[in-house]
Amino acid sequence: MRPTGTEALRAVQTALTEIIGPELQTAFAQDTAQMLQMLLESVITEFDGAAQDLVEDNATLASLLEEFRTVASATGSTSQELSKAIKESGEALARPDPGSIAISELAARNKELRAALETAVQALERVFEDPECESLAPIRGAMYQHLREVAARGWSFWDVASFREYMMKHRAKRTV
Amino acid sequence: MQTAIADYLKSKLPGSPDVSVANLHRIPGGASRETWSVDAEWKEDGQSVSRGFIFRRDPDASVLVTERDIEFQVMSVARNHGVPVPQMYWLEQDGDWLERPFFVMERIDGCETSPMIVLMDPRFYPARERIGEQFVAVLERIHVMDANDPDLAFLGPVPTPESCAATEIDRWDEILARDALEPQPVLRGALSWLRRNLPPPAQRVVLVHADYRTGNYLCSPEGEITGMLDWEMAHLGDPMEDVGWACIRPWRWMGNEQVGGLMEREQFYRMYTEATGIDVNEEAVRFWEVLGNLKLAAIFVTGGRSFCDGRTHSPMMAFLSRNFARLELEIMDLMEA
Repeated sequence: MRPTGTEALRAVQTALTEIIGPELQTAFAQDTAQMLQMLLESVITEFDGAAQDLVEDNATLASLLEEFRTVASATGSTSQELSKAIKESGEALARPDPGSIAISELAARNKELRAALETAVQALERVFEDPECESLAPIRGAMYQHLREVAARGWSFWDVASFREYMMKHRAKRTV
Repeated sequence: MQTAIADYLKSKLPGSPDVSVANLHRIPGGASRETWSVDAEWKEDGQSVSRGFIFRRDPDASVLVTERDIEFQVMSVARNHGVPVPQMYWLEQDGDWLERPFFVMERIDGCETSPMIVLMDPRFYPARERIGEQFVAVLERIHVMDANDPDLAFLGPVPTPESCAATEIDRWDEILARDALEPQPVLRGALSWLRRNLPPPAQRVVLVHADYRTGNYLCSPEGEITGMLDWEMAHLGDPMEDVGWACIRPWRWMGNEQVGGLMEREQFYRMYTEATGIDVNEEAVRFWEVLGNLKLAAIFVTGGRSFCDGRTHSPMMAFLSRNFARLELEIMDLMEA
């Protein structure tokens, strides 16, 4: 369908800039319009790749949780946090993947998997200095690597101000 | 609202039955309280008096639930201790006048708060060094206020030097647990990291502004800081908390590594230590920077909760809540995760 969702949202942005913006009389209204522009930009940059990102993230998360269960179970650690995280990972993995690529279903599955990852990351931080758990360092690193990739994705207003050089360096590192 | 404000000012300015108000407008920003500016004119002893007032009104929902009376009192005390703060006039704890509680303070004219102006407007370029000096000097004036000063008793029990950091971790842990609508593995992992990387005990327990940064001070083009604003998170604690918060990347604005867009980190540390006698421990600052980024993310999470629960329709709340991923990236870098 044309205009596509992205094209329609761009039309809203253009109207905000060219038609509505000049009519706004107060600094507060102008600031709100600018906020709306940025809100739309964040939606637009997410829109096209949202399903693909969720499908890939869910696969990565499942793989990380599977590996975590295997490695953590082999440590012999008596940490209750670790046991809880192993159990929650197993429960999350046992739930079926959504049968569709509707964003809502993919996002609900993503939420389940990230909840298990949250518990796992907390447990890994708690046993970080435990010599019995040294073998967990690689999976901790892999989990944070995934979280970094998700956090660096898309557009952010920070990228044009405080995070400008930081994100340039970050992206340069990724392309090397 | 203009009529209500005129009526309110008439009630507060005795012998002034004819207060006229004009130019009422809302000032952008202020995610925790609405900020309204108004010009008022009245007669006093036969003389015409005109003055600008700022009304800080509770919002319908906020990024953070803060106590207006604490903010009002702490600003009043800070001013009495020589910190540049607008004069505080009146506090109204109910919604009788303006539908919601509010307080009123002096408007300081001829100054700017926006980092886009203070750091990027050519009028301010020559004053950059002066602003940096003032930035440190005002922080010193805040941190010289000892936590045991009776004037600060309303802030509650004085924490021990050993408990300052853990208290702040607990505070933001609770807020995140209460308001997060989604799993937050980075923020939760960071909380665990913070608990096993506590900084040394505070060298002194002092008044902590807790939002001390470029963007929260009024500054003249000559580089004079004339008002420190946004005290709603002020509490007693470790002065390194303010040092770390001032350093976090979101407040660097210029896109480089300079603290607050003003000066190199080493210079900031040196000037701060010379002014206060408090040593800057780099590992402690790293701790407070991790917590600072987490705190900012938690504030945005709270705004997102208010929006999604329908307590506010503010696009700012929706926008901020969708935009803390870069803070997560910074947190993971600082944790070296």
